[in-house]
Amino acid sequence: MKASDITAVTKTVTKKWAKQIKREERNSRAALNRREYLYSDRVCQSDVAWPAIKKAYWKASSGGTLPAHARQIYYAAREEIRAATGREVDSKYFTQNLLPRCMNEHAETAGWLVAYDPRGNFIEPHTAKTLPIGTIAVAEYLDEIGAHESTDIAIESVALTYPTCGPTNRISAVLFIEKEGFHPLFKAVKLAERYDLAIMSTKGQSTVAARRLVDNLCAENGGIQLLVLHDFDKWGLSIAENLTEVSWQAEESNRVRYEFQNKINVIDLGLRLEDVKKWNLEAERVRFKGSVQSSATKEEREFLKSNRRVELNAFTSGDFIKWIEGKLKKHGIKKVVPDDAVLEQAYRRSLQGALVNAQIRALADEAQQAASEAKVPKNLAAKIRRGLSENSGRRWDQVLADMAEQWVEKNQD
Amino acid sequence: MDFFSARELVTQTGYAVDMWPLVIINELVDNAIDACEEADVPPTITVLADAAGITIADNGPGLPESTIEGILDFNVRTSSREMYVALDRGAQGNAGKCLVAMPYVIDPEHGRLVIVAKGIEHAIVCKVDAITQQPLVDHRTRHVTDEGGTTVRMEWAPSKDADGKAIWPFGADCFPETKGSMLRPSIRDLAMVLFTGYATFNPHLSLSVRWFGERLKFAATNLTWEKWKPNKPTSPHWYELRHLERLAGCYIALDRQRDEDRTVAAFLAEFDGLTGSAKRKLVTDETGLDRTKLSELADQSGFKRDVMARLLASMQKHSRPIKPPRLGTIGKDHFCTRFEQLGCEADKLQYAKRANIDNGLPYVVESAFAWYGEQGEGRRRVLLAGANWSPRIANPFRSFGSSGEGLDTILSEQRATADKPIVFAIHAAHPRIEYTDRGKTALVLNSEEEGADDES
Repeated sequence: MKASDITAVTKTVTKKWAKQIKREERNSRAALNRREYLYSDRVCQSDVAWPAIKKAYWKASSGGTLPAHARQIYYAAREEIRAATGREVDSKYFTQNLLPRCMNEHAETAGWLVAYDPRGNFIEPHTAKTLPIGTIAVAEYLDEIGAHESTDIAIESVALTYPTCGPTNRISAVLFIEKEGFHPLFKAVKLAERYDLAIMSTKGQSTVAARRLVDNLCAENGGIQLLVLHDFDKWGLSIAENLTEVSWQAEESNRVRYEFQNKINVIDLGLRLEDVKKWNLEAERVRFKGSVQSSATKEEREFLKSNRRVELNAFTSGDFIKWIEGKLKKHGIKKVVPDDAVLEQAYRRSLQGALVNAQIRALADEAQQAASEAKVPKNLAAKIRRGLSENSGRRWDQVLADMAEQWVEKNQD
Repeated sequence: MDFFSARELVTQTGYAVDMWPLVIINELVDNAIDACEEADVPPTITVLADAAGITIADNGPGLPESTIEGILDFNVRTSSREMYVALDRGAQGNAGKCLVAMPYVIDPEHGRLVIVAKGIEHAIVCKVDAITQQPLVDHRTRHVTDEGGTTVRMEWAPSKDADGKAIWPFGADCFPETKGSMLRPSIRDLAMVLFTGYATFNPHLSLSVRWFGERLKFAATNLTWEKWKPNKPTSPHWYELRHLERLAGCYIALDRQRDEDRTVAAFLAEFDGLTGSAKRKLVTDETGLDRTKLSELADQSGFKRDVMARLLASMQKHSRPIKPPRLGTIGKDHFCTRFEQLGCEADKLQYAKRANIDNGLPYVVESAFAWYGEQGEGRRRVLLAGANWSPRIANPFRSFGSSGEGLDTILSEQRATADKPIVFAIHAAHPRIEYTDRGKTALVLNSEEEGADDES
């Protein structure tokens, strides 16, 4: 236990008293004002924040009909808070502290859709679909996964591969990396494809959206594994924990912005001192402040307290991939092969598709012949413009496709 | 013979004879609250002080006979409980023996300890064989109505001075019912501070005191208050190699007495995070200690240090460190209620908390301060200082290391001196509270600077 903490709490609680008594020592008349001085009328920003935030959300979200960004709410609320307290409210304090705290304390905010800036991306293998890690995008992606069904093949679709959405039968694990810059390297070595990995990153510490995504995809009961790569520094050591559970500091100060529904199936693959030694990685100087995550060994703590850190960037590209692959193999991360039932269904489905494709090819030749002989409608551009003017939300090729359909219906017999 | 003279008991307890009433209260109330918590019962403690003794009663499960027999066995110096690195109040392994010997030392003719638990009254009289100098324990039992809980009474012959005032046998100046002065607080004053400390540091405690004619009562403010209980498994992260060896040694000795020999895996099950068999298997596989007996980790020259070090490292690797909030916090609301009872303007109370982790050990420090207001002019400071929910007789934060600076120095700088009409409380919860002395008057603190999470 640190003596500095005993000193700090003692000085904090006696601060006003000490100031007042020292004033009284200098001027005995000051004793008459002891009450006023000790108990000031200063208004706390947190005491007046809720009514201001409630109004501000209503304003920023157009009466609750649209999502509102946290900073939009800040701009709408700050004047009222300033009027009530006489002080300017700091934007970071507002978005990261006051707003989440008010939302936790008032049940009526449950339906609010408050957006924070996307930070980083989530990339699916094979589809190469890139999902920005933002409140709205993640909500939509999760809705899409929830609504997805493996439907029978459509005649128009001749893909023989098995359609998936989300991790089921496709993703072996989520590889979270605290840095953004490695995606070109991963792409070059086909890391995602070779291990069926979804690669995810955030800029710095994880966001609410990142935690929600992890909570839904990587639950210990039935989810896929979350693998976490991080630097060897005090922040890096806490990334896996911060991404997978509510920090006690947030709980203590009622700043929890996301409550996990599941225990997360996480493996911390991050850089540790033994890796630094083994791979002979260079440290960089950094001013150490605060305390080290308690999972660090004594030697690691001493290393970090000596104002040093080692970034993942210290690896050469080749070594970095070797290092990661070593860890993936150690933890049994392999390409996905679905179970027998899924494989049987997929095989029959592909066979069906292949047979359809064979017929489609024959039909396609005939169709191509018919299409080449057909007359192109006169004033095609004008007809398309007319179609677009009837519905400006459509695209030109959709109108064109309708016209082709109509031609087929008319000439089929 | 380490317990049967005033000099020896002063060494064991760390306090002079006139302070022993406070030692008795401190040890017995600590044990009583711990026992209730272990049984998941919100503690209700009654203290009675009269001319012929001090009685502490609780509503716990009742002290088992085996524990009483253990206390009376002077061949065993300490209890196994002391070996754990845990957040319990007591943890001075020989406190029970001190209390058994104390009646003989203060009143060799009439002194005795009476324990009532589980429907049996144990009347214990300890003396010393004048020839062999060995303790002679006269332990008599009789069946009584079981009213639940445990009652412990330390008894001596009542006596009075020329004015008819009760005198306790703890020294000439120890008039139990006398109010003292600022410079020289009486035993009564110090006991009242101790009781207030218990009520302030334990939101779930209901405490009722009868001190001769005077009554003091504190109702619990939160019967469902949560904290790290004394019987909860301890975390491997709280142990250093020496602690683990001591605990393992204690288990091996206990197994020998019972003609048993537990496995390393069974030993691991005692720890937080390793109670599940899958986690234990990870540790035993990693250390190559699957099916190994605990006793095999030691030979005649002591423990195999490399094996023990590997075992501890693996235990720590496969269990999660405990976060500070899990230890439990007293909270501002409870401080407000108690300070209000003391006559302070509690709605203006100043409160601060620091939760931190130092060398892998989590801890929470809380402090509260309030002024008595204009009405309190002439009153003097009440200082409540404690650790692990137990108030200490003397301020345990008196020294912060080599600088010699301590809490008193800081309070003096902050003009919160003993003559001021204020109440100041400070409490620390920490799994490895270590004192520099037996009287628990000086905590071992780390004077190294580092950050923490602050809330005020």
